[in-house]
Amino acid sequence: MNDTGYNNRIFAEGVHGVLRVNWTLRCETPLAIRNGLFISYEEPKIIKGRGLRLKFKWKAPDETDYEVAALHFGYEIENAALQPFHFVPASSVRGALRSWTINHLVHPNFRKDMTPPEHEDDPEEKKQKAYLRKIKAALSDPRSGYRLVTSLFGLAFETREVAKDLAHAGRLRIETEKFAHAHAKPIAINGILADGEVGPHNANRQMTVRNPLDRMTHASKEGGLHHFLEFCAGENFTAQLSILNPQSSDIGLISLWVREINDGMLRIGALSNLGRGRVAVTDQSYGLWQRPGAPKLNGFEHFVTAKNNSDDVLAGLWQNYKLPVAALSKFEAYLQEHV
Amino acid sequence: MHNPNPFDFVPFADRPFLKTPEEYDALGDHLSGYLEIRLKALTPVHIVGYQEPGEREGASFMYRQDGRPCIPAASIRGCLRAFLEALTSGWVSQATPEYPKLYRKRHVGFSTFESFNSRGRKQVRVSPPAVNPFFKPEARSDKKIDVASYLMGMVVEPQSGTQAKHEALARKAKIWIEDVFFDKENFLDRVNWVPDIKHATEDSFMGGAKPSASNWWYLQPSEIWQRSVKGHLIAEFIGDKFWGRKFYYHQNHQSCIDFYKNKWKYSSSRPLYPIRMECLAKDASTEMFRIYFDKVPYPLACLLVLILFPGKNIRHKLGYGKSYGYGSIEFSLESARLRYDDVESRIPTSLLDFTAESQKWPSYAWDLKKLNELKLDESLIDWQALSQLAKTLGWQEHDKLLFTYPPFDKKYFMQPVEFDDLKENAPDEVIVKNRTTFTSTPARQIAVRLFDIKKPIHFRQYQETAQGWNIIAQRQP
Repeated sequence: MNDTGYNNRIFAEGVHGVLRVNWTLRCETPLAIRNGLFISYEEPKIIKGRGLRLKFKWKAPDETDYEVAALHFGYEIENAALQPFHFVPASSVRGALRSWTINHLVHPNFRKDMTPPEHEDDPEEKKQKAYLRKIKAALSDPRSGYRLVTSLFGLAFETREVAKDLAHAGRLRIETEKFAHAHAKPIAINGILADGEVGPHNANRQMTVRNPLDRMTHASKEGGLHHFLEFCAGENFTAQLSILNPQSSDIGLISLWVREINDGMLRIGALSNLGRGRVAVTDQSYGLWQRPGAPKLNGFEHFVTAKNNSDDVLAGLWQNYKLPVAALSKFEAYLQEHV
Repeated sequence: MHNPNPFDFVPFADRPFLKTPEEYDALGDHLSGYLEIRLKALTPVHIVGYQEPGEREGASFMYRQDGRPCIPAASIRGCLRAFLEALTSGWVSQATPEYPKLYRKRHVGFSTFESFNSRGRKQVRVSPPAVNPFFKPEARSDKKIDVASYLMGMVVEPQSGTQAKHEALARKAKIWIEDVFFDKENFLDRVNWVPDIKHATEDSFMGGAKPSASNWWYLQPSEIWQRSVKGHLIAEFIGDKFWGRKFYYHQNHQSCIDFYKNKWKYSSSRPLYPIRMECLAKDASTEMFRIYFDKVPYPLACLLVLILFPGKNIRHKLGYGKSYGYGSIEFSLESARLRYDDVESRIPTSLLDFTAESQKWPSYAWDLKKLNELKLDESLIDWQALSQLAKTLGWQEHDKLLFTYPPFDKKYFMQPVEFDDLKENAPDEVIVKNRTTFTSTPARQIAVRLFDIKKPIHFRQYQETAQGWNIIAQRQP
């Protein structure tokens, strides 16, 4: 325990329970997950023609190519060969959930200036101190909503002497699986499928263009043309959330996340201003594993005992319970203790 | 009598309207949720996907996403933001920064927000900024931003001489707009067309705007230079400040196209080459699409709805071929699901049916008393700009008017003005010599007196003497 009253030793008593959440998410709008890389395409010059016979190159553009912001991808070994595949990184889901939680449940006084200064050394020292004061103030107030965020997502510091008092890993782990579109098409551009090297083929993708118009001439703004790849609406992916030593308020928060995701208020990825990143939770399940003698969870009566024949590593060791989806919202009331 | 030009300008106010984000936040309770909207095409709408040349005509295919015809969110957003920026005296969020001098193409270079040193063989000129630099989006030390940036987000450069981190320069949008789809029943397959010319180069009939400081078409009068061309001394009308923000008039697309087909002169070396377009058909509606609010103060949520539904007389325009009558649209509000985000309780409630209340807001346009009921600060609106928007985007009697570009012909753009003619027609109090500087009144007088020699010298003179200007001038919001 430190001088804020916030206990950063959240696993001091060990792990006594795990909440496992499985979501299947469907893209209701296109989804743009950038990876900072650019690929390219070449377009032959055709008089009075445009957008024809585009040829993709899965590599950075050279002088005559058009630059296209790439979509997140990784590699795996398949049939003794390195194969690229698209996936939504867990950090994107985590970042979206964390941002939404801060922007809604944390008191407005503690929403700004809560990111660590970039450097430890002078002249950042003042900023480090100011940052630390702000974090301590937020943690000292049990109704700031900040404890809820740090407990789930963790708390990191640049300076080590502070870290020992406050820093800790969060209780929430997120994993995602790659898109599993068995018959994905090459990149779609205006209804035409692109030719050339189109990269991974485990998700439907499209190339989108932004071309802002100059306000005084209505001509294309010079330097304003941008191309980017995005996953098409209709693509599905899965995410697994695991929360160690779950609290009732955690389940209430998950209930809010699901509602807000389905309403389109909580989005994943970039370009929400252009309506990107609206997904829907199309399938969901909630399982609780508890060791014998685990502290009682408020609202536990909403869980039902599950058969212990799961292939989960905890099967046979801990007791397994299921939470019906309909009961999820009953836990929202437990969030009141944080706000 | 000539037809009016298809576009016009909304003049800039003296200063942009700016507040800090905190001041905007404090304007009222915050609304989150979404509106479900349909878009109706009042004239055919085309968004360019890809274009394919043919022997006698070209084809322009509708923009598609994953195979489905679509009006992209970015087009809707651009249309609404341009209107919002003009209405609220906002920054100019999108502008080509520089128009350099180009050999045989642009005699005088200029820059949008900065002075520009334009150096030719004979003439050197420091062109002033074509737009008051106050209208350039900047991360200011006082943190003030315009309404459009508060609502629609921004990424800007730091104020000159200051250092600012990325987070200070980027602002997330509070308004999210989704793509708009329509089905095949509402699809018109290459019935409509826009004129182009058949030519062996990339030249087009009316290509993208190429604003020149060597006339008073895009830029307001500043000077007249004397220029020697093939032994003739001709007058070059130098402009310096943009007339304003550009918007296109509504008109009947068929009448306009008929004009270009039957009354426009084409040479045998550059014959008419129609570009046939796939369109969202006239009178057809799209599927519903969503516009989201993320904690938008109530008065600004009302303002956004007013921008979507800008009164009974104003309609928006978007997409390709605006100058030929295409792209006139209106929105309808099908439903609204919103909630107030309570700062104190913080835990957001479910979205509620807000349809009935939000459907009332459009009827408030642009009644000052009613706007006050919405707690919409009247100083937020540039009423002069609204008046000009109503003239240009006015829907009243749009089908009685025909808007066409001035032809490249004698007495029009092709016509040089001899320097001697200029001297003869100058007002008595003005001594005309090379690089004579003009204020707006004598400049207009010169354009009036030279009108029989060349009509499109002065943009305002050309517009206000055009057929049907009396209809335009009487339009009100």
